Amino acid sequence: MSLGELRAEYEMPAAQGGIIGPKILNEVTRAVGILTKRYDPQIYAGVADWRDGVDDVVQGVVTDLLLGEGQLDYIFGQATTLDDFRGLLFFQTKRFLARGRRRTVIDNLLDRCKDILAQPPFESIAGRPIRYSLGQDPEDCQPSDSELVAAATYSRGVPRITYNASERAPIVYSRENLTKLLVIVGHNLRCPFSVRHLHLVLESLLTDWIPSFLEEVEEVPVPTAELGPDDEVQVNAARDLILAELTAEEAVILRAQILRIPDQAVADELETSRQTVITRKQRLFQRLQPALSGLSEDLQVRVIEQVGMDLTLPDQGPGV
Amino acid sequence: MTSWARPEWLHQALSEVEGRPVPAPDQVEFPVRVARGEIRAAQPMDGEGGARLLLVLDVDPDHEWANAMLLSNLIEAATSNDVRLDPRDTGLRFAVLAETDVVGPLFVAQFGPRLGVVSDEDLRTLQLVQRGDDLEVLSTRRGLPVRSRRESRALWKGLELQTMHDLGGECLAHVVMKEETDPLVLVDDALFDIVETDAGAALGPLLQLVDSPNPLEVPAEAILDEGGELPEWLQALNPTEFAALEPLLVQALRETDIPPPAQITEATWRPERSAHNSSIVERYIAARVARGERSVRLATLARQWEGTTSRALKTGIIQLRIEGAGLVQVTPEILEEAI
Repeated sequence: MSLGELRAEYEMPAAQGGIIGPKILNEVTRAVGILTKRYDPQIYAGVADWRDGVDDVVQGVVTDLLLGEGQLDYIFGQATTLDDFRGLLFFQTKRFLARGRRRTVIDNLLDRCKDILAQPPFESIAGRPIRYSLGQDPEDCQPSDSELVAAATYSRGVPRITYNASERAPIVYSRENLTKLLVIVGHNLRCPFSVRHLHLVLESLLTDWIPSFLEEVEEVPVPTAELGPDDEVQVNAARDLILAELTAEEAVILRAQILRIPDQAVADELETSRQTVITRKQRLFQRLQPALSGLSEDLQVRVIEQVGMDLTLPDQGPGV
Repeated sequence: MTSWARPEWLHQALSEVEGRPVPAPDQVEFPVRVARGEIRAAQPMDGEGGARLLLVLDVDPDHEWANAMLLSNLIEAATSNDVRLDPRDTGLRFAVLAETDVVGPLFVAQFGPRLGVVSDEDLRTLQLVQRGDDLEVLSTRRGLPVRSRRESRALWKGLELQTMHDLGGECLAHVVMKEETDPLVLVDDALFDIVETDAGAALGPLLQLVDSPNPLEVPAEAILDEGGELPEWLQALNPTEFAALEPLLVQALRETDIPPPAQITEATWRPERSAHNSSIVERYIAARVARGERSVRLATLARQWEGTTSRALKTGIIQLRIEGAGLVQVTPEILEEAI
């Protein structure tokens, strides 16, 4: 097989057996056959044996990605060798598998969200779809796209549970933290929200999780270490020390830094100049440095995560 | 292919496909020109690594290189520096991420055919995102900021930056050096090929070279070819004409720092070079590549190049692929034949 033969098939009209014919389909089947061997069919296809799942993956790669999303054009627009072609096709196959798993993870999260949203402080508003309110006026309005982006941005401080590559359905958030996440989401939306809106927020939030899957497919180890009791004491102490010394303005600056919000946006919020924000930020970091010194890099990250979440939750948080 | 039965699901899926096939990165017509806003695939100069899609942001006034932004199809990995461009924004059949934080210069000879185009307004908006101050701009088409260096998207960005370096590193070096030195113009040995032309036609281009403001590299072999008619032609010049050409001849006899290789395995010109038996120019260019240069100016005649025009050559770029060495960008300086 050569790239020239594959291209000739791709350039032939569909009516004459082209675009995707036997040669390209054979390449897809080959890629799926090689890649799926590395993964648990139960996790990635919901079947006990890949022999029952391979055809669906081949069909999904072709219809959803190569044709549905135009990725066949992307491949032929860049490939200059057969190796290029195969590498790009492997990537599409990994992508298809990763997306399937992400859907499962988000669906599981949404099921757990529904359970939490059925209880106070949330209120359910009957209708189709059911909407949920955190004190919003239940008028007939929809959260805007930019509110959903803001909700995702401010939910990023909520710590996740690290996962193991062999876990079938990683839970991502503890129940306590998932509740906090929903409070942050509700706080950032002016209107009641539905599961569809939550889906959009979670999809955006888990963006950084998706490439992990792609790497996982390439067998890059994923850290799974949990905090020990001693570590937890140190992290809590450092977090309390930092929070105790913050002014309201510094809290805004620190929260923005943790959530990677640009200095200009902070300057706008505080009605000051960008340079002033930068100067105050530098002073603040110098002052906070002792609270983090002596902690390992991992623990420093945990402290920052917890501080970020505390600064993101609304002040009048209803006891979460 | 007679006995293959297309599965019904594939038949159904193909019935919804519209549009023409996308050309390969090397299916581009030379001399090539690129323009701001175009989406094209580009290949590394050394031939190592695959092609990638890029968005042309700006083209330098001499049309030698373009500043370009890397595009990716990994839309799931968008960071706050990446903007999703949908097919309606580009004319492509797939969505891409414009990576505003992965930008660099590339030689024009690296670019493949035009695959899509982004409007001027969208380009300006992308440049706003590039400045990085405002997360509100196109917020629904961007991802969330990277949180830490340990995040997988940070690792992916590192690889994307490396890809950009592989694609644009040699051009970046050229751009930096260009500001410090005048370009050394290589003279096409075909200018001294008197056999197929009359004396009057040969003299005009050579006299233009003498007046060139740039330093010249004249291959010695071009005037020492014993089989040619150059010596006889030179003898027939009147004293004034000979005196005018003398600096050029002296230049040819100077020793070069690095002599050109005796031969090269294979060289492919795009557009094709018209029948000319010597490989002198290719060998001198190979010597330049050995010195780390990937962009060469060549004083030449339009009729040396097949299937193109003098006008296209004056504004476009020629590509030379040397086996084992990769691509070389050749900027033609077209000499007028009738003066």
